Amino acid sequence: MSAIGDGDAAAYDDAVSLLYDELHKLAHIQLAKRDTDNALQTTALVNEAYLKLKHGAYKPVDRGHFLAIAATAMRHIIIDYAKSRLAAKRGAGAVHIELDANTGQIDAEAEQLLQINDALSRLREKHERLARIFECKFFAGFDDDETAKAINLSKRTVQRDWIKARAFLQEELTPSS
Amino acid sequence: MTAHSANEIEVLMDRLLDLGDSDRRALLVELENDDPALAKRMRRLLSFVADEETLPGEVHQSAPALMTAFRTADRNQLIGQRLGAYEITHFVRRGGMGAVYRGERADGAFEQSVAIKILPARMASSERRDMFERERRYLATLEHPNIARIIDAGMAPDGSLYFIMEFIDGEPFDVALEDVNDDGRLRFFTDLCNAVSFCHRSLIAHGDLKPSNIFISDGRLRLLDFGVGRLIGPSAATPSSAPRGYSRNYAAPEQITSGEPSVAADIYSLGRLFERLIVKEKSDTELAAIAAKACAREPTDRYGSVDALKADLRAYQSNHVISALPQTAGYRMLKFTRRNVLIIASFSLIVLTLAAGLFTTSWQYRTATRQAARAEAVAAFVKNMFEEVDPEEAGVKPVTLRQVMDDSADRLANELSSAPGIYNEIKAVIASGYFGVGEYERALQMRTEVLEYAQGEYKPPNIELVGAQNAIAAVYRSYNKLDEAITLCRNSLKQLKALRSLYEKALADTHFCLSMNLAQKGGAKNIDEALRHRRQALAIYSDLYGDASPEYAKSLASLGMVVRAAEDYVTAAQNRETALAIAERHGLLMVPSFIRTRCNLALDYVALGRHAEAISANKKCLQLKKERLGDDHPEIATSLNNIARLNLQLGEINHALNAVNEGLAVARESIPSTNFTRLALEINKAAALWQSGEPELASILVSDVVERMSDQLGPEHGATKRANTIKARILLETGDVEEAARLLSASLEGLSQSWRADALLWRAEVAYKQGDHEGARKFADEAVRMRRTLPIFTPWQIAESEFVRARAADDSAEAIAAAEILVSLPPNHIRRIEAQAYLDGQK
Repeated sequence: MSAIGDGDAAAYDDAVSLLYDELHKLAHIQLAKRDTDNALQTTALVNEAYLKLKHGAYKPVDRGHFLAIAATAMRHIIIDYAKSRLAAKRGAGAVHIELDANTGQIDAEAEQLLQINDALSRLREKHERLARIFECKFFAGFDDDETAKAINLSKRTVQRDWIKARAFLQEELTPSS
Repeated sequence: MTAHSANEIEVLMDRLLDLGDSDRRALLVELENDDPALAKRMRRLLSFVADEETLPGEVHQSAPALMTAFRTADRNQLIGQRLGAYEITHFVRRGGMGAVYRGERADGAFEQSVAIKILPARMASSERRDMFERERRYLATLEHPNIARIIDAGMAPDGSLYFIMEFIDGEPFDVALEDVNDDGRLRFFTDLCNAVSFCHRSLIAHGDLKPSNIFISDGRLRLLDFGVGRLIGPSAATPSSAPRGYSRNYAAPEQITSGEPSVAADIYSLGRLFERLIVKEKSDTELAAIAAKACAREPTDRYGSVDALKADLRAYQSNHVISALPQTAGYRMLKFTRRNVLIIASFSLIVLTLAAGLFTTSWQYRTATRQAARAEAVAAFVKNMFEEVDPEEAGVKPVTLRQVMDDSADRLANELSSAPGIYNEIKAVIASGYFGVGEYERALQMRTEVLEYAQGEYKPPNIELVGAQNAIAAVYRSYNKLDEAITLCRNSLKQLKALRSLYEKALADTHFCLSMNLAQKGGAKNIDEALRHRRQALAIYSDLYGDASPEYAKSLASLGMVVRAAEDYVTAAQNRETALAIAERHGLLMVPSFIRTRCNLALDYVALGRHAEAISANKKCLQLKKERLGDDHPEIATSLNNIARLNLQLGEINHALNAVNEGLAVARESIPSTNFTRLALEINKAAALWQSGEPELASILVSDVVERMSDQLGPEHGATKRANTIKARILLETGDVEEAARLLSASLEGLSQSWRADALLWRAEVAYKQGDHEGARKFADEAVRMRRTLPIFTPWQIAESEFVRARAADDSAEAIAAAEILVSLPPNHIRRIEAQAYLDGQK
């Protein structure tokens, strides 16, 4: 975490925005290449971006730091997509015809995704580390090893924190009456 | 209760998680005593701790998997939907402002792949709707090699906007630039600058320049979404309402806050693209300086125009000093050219506004000749208008837009009042100019004059009236006279709705007309196309009137002719039965067109072998026609022809002869000798004469009719071919075997199934007569097979073919069996006579 101290917040944002572009581009290529019913392979995307950027204009501090930034960028990409989907949905009526049950469920999930994202921002205020772990595992789809590397923790801690992160996030999502 | 820090809670949570079940319960009990609220919270948190897989909320998969699910849903959702003339065929991608699909033109007019962008309804700012029509037409006229054209745009019934754009099959800018070298990237960037500069000269700021809006296709750069920002209005285009990411990386800071697209904001975006995608080597100070100047935080510190940015790039490429770096020596020079560029630019803006405005109001609604004359007059006027103020001629004398407009308005009254159409068009444009610079009083006055002129010229509903009213409504809005504005807009909307249904009906009528004519022309390709137009016509009629309406029923019934041409008699009969059921519900069975439907239904029944139903439908039809139209209406002849044909089918040659004679009596009175019905009656008469043992008479008649048919319809027409097969059979009877053989061979191709079965049978008879028993058997085999399969044929007709085959094959058992059926025909039927003779010979 040392690389992402307070003073580096602006640098962190810049790096996220750069990675946003790179991952967006790589996602486009990946999705265009294959039958897109296969899930987005985020780890492959992130690795590819790393290899490219390592020798390019932007020099990541280290791989862990890079993974953390990539996770944030990935979250932005996915949330933007979900928002745009819902925006289109709210506006449209005639063009998008009758919803089948499946579409309805997909919309509900997009809505959920945005709520989780908001809850994650609240969680970050109190438990920053847990929020980052959640970002890596849920939004970026990292495994425990990658998450551990991104946040500079042991794998064991990641596994324990993942349990807590989900519990705290669920608490944020369902405030007690 | 004490407040607990997040850290304390987390530590407590860890402790609880570390404990076994009973210890954990004990700790919770202890907590309950100390701090019940905390205990409650911890219990709740623990209840959320589930197995490894459970995710918060109600999601069941990780975010990347969800995103894939969203995409899949996007891909499938709108496929097959129709927008205007286009059908959505694939999902392409989702961007900040909406989704992009691929579509194909679906109205059959011509083949065309397009990109369709759909924006959510909330982006259609209502105050821009009256502008939308005019704008989209204006945009459709603008063309640039580096810009993907907006072909059309529209508003779906729910208010979503859609844009039909040229489909660009390529890669987004950032992806495509991966493998391009430094020079190539700079070249593409120059192309991009040219495209954006063209936008600006067309008075359009792009407002959303980013890699996913720029494609490289076959080595050519194409800018997408040009004009979309203008169409959906400034407040809607704001990237701040769009998601955070991609757009934000390229949008100017002031654009993020105000949402207003502008030339300066576009220059900023160009700078960002330049910085991120073009400049690979960050240490190049000159390129970095160009990027920095384009991306200056203050709009006034940026390049004043895209051309200025381009000029710096050119300077860089040719090793001249660039303006982005402080160069005292070049400073005055720079200022000078910049000033000139501005003056020149402002003049070209005015010219373009006028030209574009004139074009917008005039194109599409006028005939080509009028347009040419008009264009000439307008060009002359505009040329005069600027001659005096041309900066080249007048030196660098700043002339304001106001002055140009005032001069033009004066000259307009003097020079063009004799040509009121053009006079009013230019007046409308100049009024827009006044409106643009805030001279609402003059704008209102001129626009009112324009409307008055239009009211004298056109009757509502009319698009000119709508345009003129909307223009006035726009001025009223500036005065805050909203009630007046709303009244005008409502009226416009009413007119447009009326226009739209007129248009839709005309469209459907045209599909209908094309379909009927193609079907009558015949041939597989034409019939395919006819079926397509039939579907389109019916879809529109159904939309317009509903599919239980008489209008729909009438079209459905008439278009039965098209499915008939495709030999789909089942559908034809169903369609006509449906149509009659609808007509009956509306009490319209006595309307001539539905009487006709009943007659045609009889034909379908014949084809389907439902002969009894055919007879009664024919009788009913003839009776209704006589009641409704009188005894000597040409349509009576049509019905009688159908009855004759059916009777031939049933072997009732005497009834057939009566019907053709009666029909011809009506026809000779009322219809010309070239009429199709009359020709058909005569052919059927020839057939009836031959079958009733009058081959000589038949031969004279058929030769005459075939000749007229050939003249009238052409030798390749289906009806001529059919007539020729009958002629051939009659010639066989009169002994001209060679000619019969020739005619049959020439006519065989392109006949419908049932006619082909007849022709094959006759071909067999010809072969038999020529002594070729083997050939005769082959032809007859095929004829028997077809007659047994096709429902149209009656038992005696099947027996007829079996009789011919049996004789060719020398199979007396089959010949006797067949002949025994044929002897039940009327006594003078030629087949009965033949059969009787055969049976007698066998004895």
